[in-house]
Amino acid sequence: MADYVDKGKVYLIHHEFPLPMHPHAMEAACYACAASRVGKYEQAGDVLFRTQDSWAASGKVDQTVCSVLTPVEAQKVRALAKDPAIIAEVQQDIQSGRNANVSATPTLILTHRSKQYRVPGGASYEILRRFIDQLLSQ
Amino acid sequence: MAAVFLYAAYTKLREPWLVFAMSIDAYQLLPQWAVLTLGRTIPWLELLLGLLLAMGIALRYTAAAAAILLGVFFGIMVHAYAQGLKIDCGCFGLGEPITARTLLRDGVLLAACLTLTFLAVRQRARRFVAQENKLATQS
Repeated sequence: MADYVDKGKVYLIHHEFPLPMHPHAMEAACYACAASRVGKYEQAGDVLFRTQDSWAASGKVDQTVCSVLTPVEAQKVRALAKDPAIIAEVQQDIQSGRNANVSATPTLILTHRSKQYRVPGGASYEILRRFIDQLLSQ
Repeated sequence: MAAVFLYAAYTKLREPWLVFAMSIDAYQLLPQWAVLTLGRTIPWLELLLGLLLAMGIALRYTAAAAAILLGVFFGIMVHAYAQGLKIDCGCFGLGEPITARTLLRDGVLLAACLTLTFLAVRQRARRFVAQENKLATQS
């Protein structure tokens, strides 16, 4: 993020891909999308990833996300998370992921001059950085 | 077998070499210098083996080299699978995770390559014996 996104060299676009084997993943994805509407996507995403073992077992997605929001933001996000438009957005992301043969999360896809490269999961940042630098130099 | 190696080389060489390097890196087995070296060289080695196999040149050596390469790949795939790593195989480009199915496929390819090696060595041995017999008869 610091090396490329913050410097304006790379755009980072998040897509949701709740996996069907995780019962609360869809709800978490909707909350994350809803949080983006109040400008808190990163914070919501961070807390959801950091504590996923906890909310995946307890189902306390609402409490988890709202813990990083102000009371006003939390109220908005709770309403938005149930909004059909948000649910449709997540469904669209899921379909896009399926079209791209995404099978696991996180999956990173680099797009450079209309060509897409799927970054293998587990690749180190050092190698990934070399690849990004190579693409940017072209 | 030649077609398999040629196709494997094609799927890797059509992409930037660092894409394959990242596939190797995902196994988390090698230091960076080794990952980068293998990322650059393995596709060309596969291409060379594919061409030699297709032309039947030094078949017992080529088949043995192919079997060794496949054996190493298969071994690290089994290791990654046993470790529960959710990574791509990297065999024929990206987008193919390591599953029981990919292990079975690569296991069959390895068995086929070992069989080819055995047959090539046996054929060479028979030719040698035939030549020796011919020389003995002539003398």
